[in-house]
Amino acid sequence: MTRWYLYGVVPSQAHIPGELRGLGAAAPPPTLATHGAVAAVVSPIDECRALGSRRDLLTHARVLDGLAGATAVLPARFGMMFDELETIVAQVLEPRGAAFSEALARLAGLMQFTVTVRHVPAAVLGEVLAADPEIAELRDLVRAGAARPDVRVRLGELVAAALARRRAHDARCLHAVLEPHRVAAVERPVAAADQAVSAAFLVERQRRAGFEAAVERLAVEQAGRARVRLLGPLAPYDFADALLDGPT
Amino acid sequence: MNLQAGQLERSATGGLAEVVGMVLDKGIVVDAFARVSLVGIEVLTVEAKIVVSSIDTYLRYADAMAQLDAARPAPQGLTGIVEDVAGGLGAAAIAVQQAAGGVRP
Repeated sequence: MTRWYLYGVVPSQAHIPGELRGLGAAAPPPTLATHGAVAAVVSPIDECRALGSRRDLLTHARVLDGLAGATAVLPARFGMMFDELETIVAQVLEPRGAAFSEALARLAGLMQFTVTVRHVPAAVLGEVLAADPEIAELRDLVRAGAARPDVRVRLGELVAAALARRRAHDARCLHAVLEPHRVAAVERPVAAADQAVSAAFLVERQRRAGFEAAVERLAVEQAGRARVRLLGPLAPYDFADALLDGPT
Repeated sequence: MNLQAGQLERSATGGLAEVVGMVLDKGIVVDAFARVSLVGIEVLTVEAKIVVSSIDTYLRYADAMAQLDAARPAPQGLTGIVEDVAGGLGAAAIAVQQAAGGVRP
């Protein structure tokens, strides 16, 4: 039985890039189910297996990010399937068409980029060590091998707090440097122990080059101390919910 | 993946860890299906919190600091922590798969 997998919602006149391929072994190109000014981006899926493999997740994201390069798009959360195209129109597009339409209008000409700054552990630990005499003292005790367990815990606690302060400082710097080049910014949760900052930025299509150049300058500046990673253009995952829930 | 020269790591779209954080907890939600598939990201969030606050993590920070040496490029302690988080991601994907399986008729 063919079911329909939902990727997101776009303006009904949107063009789907021809190279996009949807979920499933047959990797069918996504198509549009249109209702008035908005359309659902969907692809047929025949398999009965459960979704959620690494490949499924990446395919969902690739389709959305491919769309984001070409049109305003509201991403759907991973994993929504429907038995009939009519159900998508009735359950998704009809009840929320006006809200989708308004959110898409506000996203027109904008794209998301995500910037992640990861500390180089040795370099940043070196900064922490040089800046705090108490850490240096406890570190010498631990290094000598004679420290009690509570001294190790205390050292680790101080290091963790110092790293957190550095992360906060780096976050403020990142936002200050990119503020002139973006329309909106959202801080993203830190996902790994050595990750300094991750933030999503909404950028005007015409100002993309300036934004990218600013990130590149930051990467050069931070070389040796932190690695800067730029993802995008992406679907506006970090902004869509706020746009749909109300004014930002 | 470096798409251009220089210091900046550049990628058009995210790897699995980045994608999980985006497609599982962001975006339009329509019906109960999506709610169930969220189990995975909750697992991931809990694991990330454990990693940044536990005594074990403090001890690893302490050891990483103790090992820090100009002659040595990178202490191993923090790498281990990051790998643990990546392991959590694997678990999250499996949980999603199971959750998705649970709601199929």
